[in-house]
Amino acid sequence: MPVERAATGDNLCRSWPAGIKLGLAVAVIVAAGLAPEELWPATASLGVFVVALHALAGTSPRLLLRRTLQFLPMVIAISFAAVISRPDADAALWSAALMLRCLVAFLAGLWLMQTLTAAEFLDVLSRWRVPAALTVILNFLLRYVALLWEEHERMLRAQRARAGGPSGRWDQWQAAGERLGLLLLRALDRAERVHRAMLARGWTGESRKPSP
Amino acid sequence: MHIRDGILSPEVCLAAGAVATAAVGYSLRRMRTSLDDRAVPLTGMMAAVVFAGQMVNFPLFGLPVSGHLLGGVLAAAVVGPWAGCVALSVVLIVQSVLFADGGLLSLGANLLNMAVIGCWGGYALFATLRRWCGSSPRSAVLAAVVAAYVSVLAAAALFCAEFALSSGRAPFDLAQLTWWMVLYHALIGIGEAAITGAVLSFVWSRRPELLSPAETGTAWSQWGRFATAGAVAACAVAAILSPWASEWPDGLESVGERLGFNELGVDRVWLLSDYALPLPAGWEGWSVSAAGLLGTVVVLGVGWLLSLRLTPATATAPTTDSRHAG
Repeated sequence: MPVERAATGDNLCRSWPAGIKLGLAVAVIVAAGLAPEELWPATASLGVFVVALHALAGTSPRLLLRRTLQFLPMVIAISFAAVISRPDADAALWSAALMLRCLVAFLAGLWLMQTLTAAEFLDVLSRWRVPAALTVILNFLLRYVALLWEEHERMLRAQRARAGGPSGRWDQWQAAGERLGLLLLRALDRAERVHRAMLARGWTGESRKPSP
Repeated sequence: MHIRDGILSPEVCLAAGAVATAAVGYSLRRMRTSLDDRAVPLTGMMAAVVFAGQMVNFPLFGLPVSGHLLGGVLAAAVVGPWAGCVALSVVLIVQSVLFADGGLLSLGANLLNMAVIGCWGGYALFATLRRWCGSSPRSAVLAAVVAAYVSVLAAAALFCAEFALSSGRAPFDLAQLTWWMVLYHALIGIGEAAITGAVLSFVWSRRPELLSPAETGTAWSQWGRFATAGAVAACAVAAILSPWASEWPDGLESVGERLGFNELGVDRVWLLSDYALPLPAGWEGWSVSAAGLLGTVVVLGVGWLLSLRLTPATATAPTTDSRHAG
């Protein structure tokens, strides 16, 4: 299922504090962003460091390759648009440095995805005093997205079984729109039911910590 | 559409992050007053729908790429601009941190381009167009379609400005980049508009009360909608078109050259002389765009101050946001 995150098993980096993991990933990304183009070997060294972190985290090479291949076309497109926007001789070096920087930052983000769990992330947000309403909504999203995606897949199967699948491009768009519309209506109905259940349990609109 | 880390400079990411944090914080406050205790389940569920909707890819005119829903206008049309903005922000945060989709450092820029422009700007345009086009379902869907398309183009134009600011010392042709980005996003925008239209048509046919005209009118004061819609459209136009402005003299300058009275004038150097900001060499393309944006913002600000001064207090008092309860 696409919403399932790759990080499921235990790995060495999992036991590190969540704040350290987030801070390390952001530090690598900032360092890669601040490094001038001429210092591309330093950016490449950062890349080697991130690959070592992936090795510690036990990331499968297959996952790394697949996600990198998915990521590259967009960065290549932006680099191409950027290189033709700069008529000077350094444009090629600049474009290559941009791609390298993006790749290192992407690998750092992927490492974070591999090592940080959703619960840890919510815990970090609470400790960083992010507004409670935002954290609770994040929790809602993480809790219900898999459910809604399964519902969407069931609707897709039913649609294909009944109509043999849409034929033309416009049909595909219309079918996708109807599926999403139905999903939206069901989600809003579910939100009403959940709201009533929350009210029954004493919800007042403010999130409270459970009393000891 | 998600900006990856490394594309924008850390300085631009921080600035965009500060603006986005303020906007999302304001949305959060307004959402809680408008939806009271329903805010959390309704916004959370809307965020889950947008997240799921963004995973549904659709083909794009025979190109080797596919598009997906961004959902800003859709979310704003159903739950209102404030809750919509919060829902989309939550989606972007989760995608960035837990799914490595979109950058961590560029999260602020993504929030600004997609959540704030998509929901605030998209909704303002949607509501303004709806007011002009009438209250029939067809005109509402048409308004949403146009708003969805324009919000994608505005986000692309804003990205170009952010990218040009990030390029720093390098000589940079903003017009070239903007041309490519707008061309590409003009295609993506068609997909976004079509899916938004299809979803809203379906919702309208089943639950018309969710998008009823009487309720939409109270979500935002008329002036607020008009100003935000105008600002989004004007900023998109200023950012996109100003680099192409003709360098030929205008009518008065041409006549002045011919009759020789141009030399009689005193040259004064103002901040926006020749419609360009005094930026270092190599930033010429950006300086014209920035001057266009700055000028637009100044004119809107002056207009707003004038309207406050000239309009009776009762006419400008904002109405409370009592709809969007799902």
